[in-house]
Amino acid sequence: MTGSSTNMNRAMERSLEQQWIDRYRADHDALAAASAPALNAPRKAALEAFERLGIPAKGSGNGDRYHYTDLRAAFAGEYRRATEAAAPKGSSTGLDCPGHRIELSNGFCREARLYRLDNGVMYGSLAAAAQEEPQLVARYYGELTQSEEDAFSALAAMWALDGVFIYVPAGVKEPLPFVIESELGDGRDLLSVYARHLYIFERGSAAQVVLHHRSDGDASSLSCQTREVVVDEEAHAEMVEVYQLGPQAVSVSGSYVRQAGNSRFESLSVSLSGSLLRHNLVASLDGRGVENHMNGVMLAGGTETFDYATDIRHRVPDGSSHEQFKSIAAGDGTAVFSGRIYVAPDAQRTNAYQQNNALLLTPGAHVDTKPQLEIYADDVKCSHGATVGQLDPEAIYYMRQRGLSLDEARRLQMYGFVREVLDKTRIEGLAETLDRLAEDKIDRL
Amino acid sequence: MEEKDKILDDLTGSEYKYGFVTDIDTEVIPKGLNEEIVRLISQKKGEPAWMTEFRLKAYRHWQTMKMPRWAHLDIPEIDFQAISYYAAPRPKPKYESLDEVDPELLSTFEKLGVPIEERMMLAGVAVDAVMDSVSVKTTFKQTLAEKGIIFCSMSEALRDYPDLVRKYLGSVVPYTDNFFAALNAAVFSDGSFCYIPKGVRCPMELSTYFRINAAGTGQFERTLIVADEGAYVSYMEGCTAPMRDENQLHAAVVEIVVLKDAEVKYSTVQNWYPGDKQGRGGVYNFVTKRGMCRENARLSWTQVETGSAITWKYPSCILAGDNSVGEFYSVAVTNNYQQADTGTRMIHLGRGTRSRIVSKGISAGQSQNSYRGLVRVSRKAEGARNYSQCDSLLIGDRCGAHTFPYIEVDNPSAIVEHEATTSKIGEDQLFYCNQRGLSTEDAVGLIVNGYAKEVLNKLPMEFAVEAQKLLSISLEGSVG
Amino acid sequence: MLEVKNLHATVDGKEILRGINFSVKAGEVHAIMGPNGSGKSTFASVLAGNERFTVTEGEVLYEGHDLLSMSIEDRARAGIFLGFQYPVEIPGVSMANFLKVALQEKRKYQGLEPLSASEFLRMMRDRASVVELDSKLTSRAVNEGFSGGEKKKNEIFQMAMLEPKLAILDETDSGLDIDALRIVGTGVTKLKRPDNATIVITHYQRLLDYIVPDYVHVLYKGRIIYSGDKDLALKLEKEGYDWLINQYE
Repeated sequence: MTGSSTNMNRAMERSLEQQWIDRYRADHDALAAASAPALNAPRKAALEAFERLGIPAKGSGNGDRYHYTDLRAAFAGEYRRATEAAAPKGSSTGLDCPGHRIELSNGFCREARLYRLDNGVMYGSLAAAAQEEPQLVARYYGELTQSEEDAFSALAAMWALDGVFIYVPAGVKEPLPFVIESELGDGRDLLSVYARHLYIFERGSAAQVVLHHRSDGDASSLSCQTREVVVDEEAHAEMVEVYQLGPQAVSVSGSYVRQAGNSRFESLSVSLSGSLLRHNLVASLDGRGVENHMNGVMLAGGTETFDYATDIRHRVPDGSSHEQFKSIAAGDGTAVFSGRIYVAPDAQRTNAYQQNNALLLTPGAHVDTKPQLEIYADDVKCSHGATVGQLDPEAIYYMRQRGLSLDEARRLQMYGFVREVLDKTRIEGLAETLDRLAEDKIDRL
Repeated sequence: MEEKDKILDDLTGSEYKYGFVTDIDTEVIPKGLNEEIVRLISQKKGEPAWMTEFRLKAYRHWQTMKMPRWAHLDIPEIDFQAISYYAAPRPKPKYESLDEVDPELLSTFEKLGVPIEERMMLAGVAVDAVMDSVSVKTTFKQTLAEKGIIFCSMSEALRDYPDLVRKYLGSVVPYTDNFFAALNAAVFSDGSFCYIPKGVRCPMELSTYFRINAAGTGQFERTLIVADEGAYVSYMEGCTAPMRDENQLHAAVVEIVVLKDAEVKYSTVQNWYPGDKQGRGGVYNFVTKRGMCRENARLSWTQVETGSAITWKYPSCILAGDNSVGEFYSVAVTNNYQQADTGTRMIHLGRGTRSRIVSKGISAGQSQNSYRGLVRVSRKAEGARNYSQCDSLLIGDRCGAHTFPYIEVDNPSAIVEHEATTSKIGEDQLFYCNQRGLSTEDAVGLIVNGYAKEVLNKLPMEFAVEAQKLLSISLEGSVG
Repeated sequence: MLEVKNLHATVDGKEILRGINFSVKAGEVHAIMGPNGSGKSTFASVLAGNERFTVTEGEVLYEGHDLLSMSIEDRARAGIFLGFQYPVEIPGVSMANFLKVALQEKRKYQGLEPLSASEFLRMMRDRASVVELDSKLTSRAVNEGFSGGEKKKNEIFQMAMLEPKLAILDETDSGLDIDALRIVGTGVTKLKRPDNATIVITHYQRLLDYIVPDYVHVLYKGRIIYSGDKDLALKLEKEGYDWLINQYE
């Protein structure tokens, strides 16, 4: 709410952006030579956008979107670009989830190829897809990322050489989830990673995607990735994302979803560990009768900062959106939620609901929440709620009366608090895995 | 003429009943703003040197600042050099009795419905009327003086109680606070000063009426209220402005100091000219209101905002003292092309501090109405509590209703809850009323008053009735 | 089993219990009755160790141990069960998980081996039948979305699972319809054994049709002002408390 002025830092700020611009210019020819035309197409415009936008300072710019978290500090450093899938297979285990497996290492698919199933489904490397299916990729690539409005989207567009491509043709209901294991790091400090992902779910299709981001060790890294998700008419898609990054890993990611009429999209994002995890989740509800579910869990301890900015845009009538985020902040951790529901003029009969509940456990922890409604149509039902508080002492008493120790009662209540959100996933067996991972983190908070 | 059109026509006529210009001789200084003008204002008011210096510092600081753009408002460029910063009614009044007051002025107050004469006595209201910035008449001084209560214009206060003013002026809203607070500190023309001594309960509602009259002038009044330890006062502020095509600027500052165990209730009915149906004219209202609460103190803001083309206003509480309480009750109505971005800030610094926010926004026509509120619980505010409820009501499909809460919590024993809903006026309710023979206009008035009841109930009786009427009037022509 | 001597307790500085003397032996059923605000629920809460209340005077011996120095959970593990007047909803925490932890903690306290998963599940099934609790409810979150009657049945189900030595039922009959009252009442009776005891706190005689008390006590202004046998409850039902209160004051 404060009109912050950062004039005094202006000189320093310029040089930070300039470092990134210089770094990119030096890299440009190598990038262009290494990738297909579809991936090269947006680089120039992205650079111009980045030059114009700059890296947002806390509390400024981008219409309030980066109000609470300072990302500039995370971008200061002589970062190296990851150039190949060189990350050794880490010791950390992947998610125990059966499906079509895609392994990413530092933003590159370990298998640089595109898999094709009999039912017409394609999945695998975006770079490979851009070579083999140039028209399909070109048709959607860059359509949804706001790389001209968001500096981090721009950075991903400037540098990305690969990512994951998923295509489910019209009418196909793919029974197995796509399971993406994405690993970061090469054991040395100051690694920067870029990737862009494109999922296309055509009319009447159904698919599930599970993403697991992880890194080993405590080398510093910076990841900038964006994902475009096209959900055509009557398609049903679900996406679950889990972040388990190392203590020096910074990730800024953007998910840009576009939904056509009568489609349903459900997402669940779980931030378990990482130094700084910033997520931009944007959904544009472009067709009538659309249903969107956006859920998330943040478990921030130590000095971790997890920050979700959601933006749900009801552009046409008869859409519904349901948003639930739960956060626990302990130690010196910070949990931030900035939600926005936008209802366009004439988007009548919109039903939108947004909820953020946060538990603040220690004197060093911090919670910010900013649930916002921006409504330009009148026949709507929109509501939001936010709470910041502690564990329920009545419930603790009740559990202790049944013989649970104070510590157990507290932990059980926290498990239950996040389980309400985690158990929303319909992907078989995944809820148990997520519960286990969350409980593991809660025990260490 | 169709019956319906006739009704509409009548309504249009009654749209803004305060829209008349009073023909009083006014002394207006040249337009524009520079150090000379600031000195001139200070000199005309015969201020002490420290005050002139205060203004100059504020002016210099203001020059380094930019118009805030974070609000959800479409603010046209304002040419600050095209405004005259001082307009005093002439001759400068200093009356012993009402008979000496310019009859035009008195009739203005009559049209305003300000009970400045005998009925005021019956109503038990002491009025400090500020017309175009200079306080013309303060009554009831005697009754108040017996209790040691000071209630006078800021000019008089600077003359008669300079030490008191100097001690508190700018202590809650420093001139560095924001663009408009800096501007106000540099050029404020007058305003009200109120001091309630230790342990004194002010026996009557204190009231100030503001009115912008002269063309091309801005109004920059400054109010300072100090409730000493254990004191109590209820303060009412009403605002009106005549109808004019061009926009008028209003940038006021209200500072309230609530010392240990004291309580202040501050009620506002803001009905500045909102502009016409096409969005021409109207007041730009940029106001900074803030109170500092010490131990066990309580500050309650109640506002009914129906006027102004643009409203930018966040009456706030700094809950510095342990166990202090802040409250904010607001009804904001926007119609036609009005824009409002209003709410509060509750800053919890002390232990056991509590705050409560109830905001009811009503948008109609093509207006934009935003609630913006900050609840901050600092690390030391052990056991702080906040509850916020923000509801928006939409009348018609061309308007907007927005909610921007900011919640920042640093203490693990705090409990903060925020709820907000947005919905349209109930068609079944309207139908029900129609079926019982109420016109749609009346039904809307009734429903909206019911919707806002929780807030209206917080107003002093004298204000509540007027506020209810205002709500209905403001929404005339919004349905049908 | 339980010996309460001159117990005084306050909440927010206000004295609620003002010298209670009371004792319970194994195998007994005690009913505590009394008008609203007499301190019945406070007494139950203080025995369970609710931290909202402060004991200012007196002592409580439970099986020879100083009960007041024990933590809430140790009291529970030692066999004190409080059936809550308003059972608390715990979102996201499943009944099964909750009871498993509670039961294993109790067994650990008693030096017993943990139950196997299959033994635990069998026990859940068996005990749920005692109170005719829909087995679906045991897979839900604790008390969440339960009706008033289901919550109370769930309390007795948990009592059946945890097999307390001393069960304190705080207004377990409030908000129950006739059928639920019968189920809860007979459920408690089924769980009665010579080595355990029950304290029933109630407003009405009707629950005592099912749970027949050996003693009935009247609590008034934080003291037990009268004790009798089960006929006292019938008399109170008919004549109210006034005759007793008049006598006392």
